[in-house]
Amino acid sequence: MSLVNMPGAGANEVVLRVENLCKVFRLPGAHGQAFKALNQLNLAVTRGRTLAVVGESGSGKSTMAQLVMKLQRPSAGRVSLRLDSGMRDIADLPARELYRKIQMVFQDPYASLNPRQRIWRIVSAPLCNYERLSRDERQQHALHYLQQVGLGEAQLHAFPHMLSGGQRQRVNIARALATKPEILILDEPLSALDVSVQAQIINLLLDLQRDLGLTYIFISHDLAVVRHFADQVLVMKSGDMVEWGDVDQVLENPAHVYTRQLLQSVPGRLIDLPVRTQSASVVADG
Amino acid sequence: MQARIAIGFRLMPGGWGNIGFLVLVSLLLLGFIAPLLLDLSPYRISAELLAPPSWNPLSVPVLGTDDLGRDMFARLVYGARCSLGIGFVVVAVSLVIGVGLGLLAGVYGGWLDALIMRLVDLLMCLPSILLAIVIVAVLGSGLGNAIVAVTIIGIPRFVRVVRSMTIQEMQKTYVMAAFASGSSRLRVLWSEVLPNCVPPVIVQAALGFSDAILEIAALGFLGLGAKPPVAEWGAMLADARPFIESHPLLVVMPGACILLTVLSFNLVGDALRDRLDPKLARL
Repeated sequence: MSLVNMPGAGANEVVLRVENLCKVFRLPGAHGQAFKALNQLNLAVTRGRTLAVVGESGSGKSTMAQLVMKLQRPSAGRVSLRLDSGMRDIADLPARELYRKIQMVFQDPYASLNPRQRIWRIVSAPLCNYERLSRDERQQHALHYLQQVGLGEAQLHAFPHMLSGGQRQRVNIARALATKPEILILDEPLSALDVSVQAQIINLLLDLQRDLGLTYIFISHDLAVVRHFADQVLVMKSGDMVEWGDVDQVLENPAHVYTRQLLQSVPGRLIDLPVRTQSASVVADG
Repeated sequence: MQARIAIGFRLMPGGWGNIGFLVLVSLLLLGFIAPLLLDLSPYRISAELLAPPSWNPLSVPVLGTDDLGRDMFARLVYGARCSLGIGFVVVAVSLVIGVGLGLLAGVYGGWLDALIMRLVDLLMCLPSILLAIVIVAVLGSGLGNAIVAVTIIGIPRFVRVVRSMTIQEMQKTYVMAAFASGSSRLRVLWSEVLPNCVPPVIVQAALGFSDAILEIAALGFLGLGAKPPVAEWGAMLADARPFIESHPLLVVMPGACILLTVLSFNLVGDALRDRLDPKLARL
């Protein structure tokens, strides 16, 4: 498959490339069946852009995120990352180098913060893997990153349970920023938040992208948000890539029947559906 | 300052546990402060053999003397020092070993987990006092070997608790987040997993204390632990046995001390468990 045909490929520099990535889980038991979570995925992400990955639950979105983060080992295929020296396979990269370049914001803002640690400790923990820091230095660094995400001194010494869901997700983002990564994987960062808070977090993420030149891989099932937020979109279904392209093109004019189904399932029809399918469904309803 | 006082109050276990806590604090004070203030010797022999208690705090043998004319009060005070001191050493050593093995078993799993847990099963399948007797029989009798035996017996409770906590913790998203920021396994264990194991370990330590004291006393009574001149409650019981009909208080006093201490530790342990570890609370 040539690079030009990969989702996300464009005129700009490719910072992350996924080639033929597969993940097979063996179900429990001596002759357990193989379950294909991810099948021959290819994609490329360009610097400073946002690639959205959409699909229903179990479509392999989170598996992809974990493989890209090297939290699991792929069954086949590879993920490569642009370093100063060129594209490098992440399988050969030591953890220290990998996680300087790429970080992840987890889905559940409640489960992803250790309930027994104060916020400054949580936010500055990634830095301690790279340099020896005193308590004061850790708190200063933590405050810096908290301010970047719109929090401040008031939250520095709090425990996670003292914060709201939106604040917790900001802490998660601050932690992910602490190693100054170039790529952020956002694994459904909004799904546990209510709508008004979702909007604040989206705006924060857009501001950060503009200010820091971040590249996002945005995993979501909310097509309304994807349309507002992403440049390109990749649609997945049961481990297979179904469709990809620029957001406007894919969402205005979906080529695949599954994408159309996804669009139709958006509550409140936040997205204008293509004329053909909409009229068809109206007739069916009438 | 106020926060410090508040933390001080939070250490109080609550309910019946408070009473146990107060008893333990006064035993500690008695065992470690009283010998500094008063002229007490557990070994000094007087002419008055088997003197009855005077119950008068101003007269010298408050609680009378034993068959060799030694001051019973002094012997009980030094016995408290002995029991609490040994209990502390036993719990501290078995806690460190147990927590370490539990973390290893929980994190690495596989054959290491199987090996550690089968050893733990082996220790737990025999009644603890029987096992202590076996270990002392192998090592030879004496207070030092009795401490080693009771320490070994104290290990499994910590291993089991910490292993199951570790397995639970390793599934948590914040542990994954720590790995995703480049933390090594050792750092994740130290800063994410271990702090969450502390409450159940404290509870087990409080309950382990009472078991250790009881087992040391039992070994002393059987003549496998502390040897005669040492003022240790279990050994005192054994020494006083010939006089159980003529001078029953000689047996009752050390026995009551053991009962009171073990009961207090159990009350504190139960109250702490209810507070720190609601999942294990009795229904």
